[in-house]
Amino acid sequence: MGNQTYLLETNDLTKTYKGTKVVNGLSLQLEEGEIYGFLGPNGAGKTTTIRMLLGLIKPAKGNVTVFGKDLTKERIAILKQIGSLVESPSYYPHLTGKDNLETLRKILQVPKSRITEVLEMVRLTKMADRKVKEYSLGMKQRLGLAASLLGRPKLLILDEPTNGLDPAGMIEIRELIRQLPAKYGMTVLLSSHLLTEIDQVATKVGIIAKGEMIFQDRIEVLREKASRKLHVQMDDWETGQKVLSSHGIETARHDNWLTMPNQPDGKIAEIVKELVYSGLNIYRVSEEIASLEDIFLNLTKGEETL
Amino acid sequence: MMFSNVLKSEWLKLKHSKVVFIVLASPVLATVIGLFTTMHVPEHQWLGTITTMILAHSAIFLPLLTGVFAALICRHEHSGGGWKQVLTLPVSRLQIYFAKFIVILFLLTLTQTAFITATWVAGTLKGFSDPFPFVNVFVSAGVGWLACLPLIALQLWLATMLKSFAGPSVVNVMLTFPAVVIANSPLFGPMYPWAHPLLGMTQALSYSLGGDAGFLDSAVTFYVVMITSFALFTAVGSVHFQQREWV
Ligand SMILES: Nc1ncnc2c1ncn2[C@@H]1O[C@H](COP(=O)(O)OP(=O)(O)OP(=O)(O)O)[C@@H](O)[C@H]1O
Ligand SMILES: [Mg+2]
Repeated sequence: MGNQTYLLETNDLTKTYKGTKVVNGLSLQLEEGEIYGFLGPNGAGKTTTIRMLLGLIKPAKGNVTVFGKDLTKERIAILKQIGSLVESPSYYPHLTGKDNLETLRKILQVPKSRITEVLEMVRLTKMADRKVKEYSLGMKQRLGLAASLLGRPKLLILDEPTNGLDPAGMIEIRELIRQLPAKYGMTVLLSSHLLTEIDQVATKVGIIAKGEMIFQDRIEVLREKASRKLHVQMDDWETGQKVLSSHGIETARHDNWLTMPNQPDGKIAEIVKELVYSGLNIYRVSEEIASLEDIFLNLTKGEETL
Repeated sequence: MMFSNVLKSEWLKLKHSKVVFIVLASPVLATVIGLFTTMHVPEHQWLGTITTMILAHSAIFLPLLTGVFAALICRHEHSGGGWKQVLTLPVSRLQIYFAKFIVILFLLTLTQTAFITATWVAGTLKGFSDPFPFVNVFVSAGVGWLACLPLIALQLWLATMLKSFAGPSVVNVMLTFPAVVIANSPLFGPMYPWAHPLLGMTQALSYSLGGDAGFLDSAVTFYVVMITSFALFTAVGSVHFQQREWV
């Protein structure tokens, strides 16, 4: 344990199923106020890790510390301040959305008005008095999110929360999650198998593959790893290539596109100026931005988990 | 304080579940049987009708009900993924387990109360003029309630352990039908939990009337088996619930 105290910390967390370590020596650190993106391909061990964080299953090895307390010793005190949504939303189909939340509220002991509040937060107010068996998958997912927020938790653990949502719903929920730390002082752990899902909200990223943590740092560090590229489309690519190589820039060609490593702003302006002065017609200048996904794929490459 | 909140939460989950039909099913059927029975005991106007109703209610329905109640109380946690939500609430697992237990006991209390009412209704409709032997029926229903405890403990254990509604129910039905036969054996009857509701209710009625017309020869075995099996099933069920992995 270092000199820093984390809101949530795991040490050498390991889970074995039938002799296979599906989570292997995981050390995960989560600071207060962060949105931690827990990323990994299908079967990497995200849900298994989250189940251990919540005390639903017992680790074969290692420990979990939350709010400075040992999970095995003070599980109930810890759970008091955690909201969670694991894998698929839980619900009672024969009850209304409101009554579903009421079954939880009776135990969490928050005021009744909190139900209205969380329903509003996930925009489910209109469906509140309908039975959940009439809900669509996305509505159930929203109800699950509302349930996780009900007890005003300090820590929110969400396993693939945008599952089953349409694109607009995804953006909306992502926006909601993004605001949680600043607005309500919550810390969020968010799992996903899609980098794009957490790219826009996470402040820190942990990447898990085959049960092992292969990257854990601020998202900027991951971004820096991305070798960005610049693409320029022009009419006479042969001249363009000569001009650029005289400036020390090596390019690759695809049709009439020239591709080069990304450059600082000033340099790009210079390149474009030179190309135009050489009498070329520039059609498009674009930066390749999908490279973060490439990094994720590269990091988890060859990890045949399924 | 905390536990009563868990109880209230469990109770709310029964809303719209039509559990009332299940609670009333056996008393209503027993009433119909009581109305048409020809069994008559010369010295006691009510006794024939009440005995018939007790036999119908306790031999088959009561043991089956324990399984139905237990399955019902866990059904939606299994189907809707509720376990992981309930078990990440800030309450101990034992509180959840025993809240469910107590709700089942409450439903059983409702059924037995409805049964007492049913005997009065049947006799009154038949125009009996003697006073209703409330104390005797009450004692019988009470002992029947106690005799269901081991089965409830066993059924709740099975219902929380197994995802399927059908599995434990089929086992319960298969073990219930031989109960009538086994209850007639002075040796094996008291040892067989599925025969206990029948033995308990008939014996308590007869005993409270000052007779000994029940099937029960060995009251000691009956009570020892009842208490130990209740303790055993409760302990195993609750420990398993607390220890198991929830995936
Ligand atoms: N109860 C179980 N018994 C046996 N193996 C299991 C069990 N639960 C999970 N596993 C295995 O553990 C591995 C990790 O599963 P887990 O559900 O944690 O993956 P995940 O990262 O959440 O994947 P996904 O993105 O598909 O949700 C998988 O190989 C899975 O087969
Ligand atoms: Mg998962």
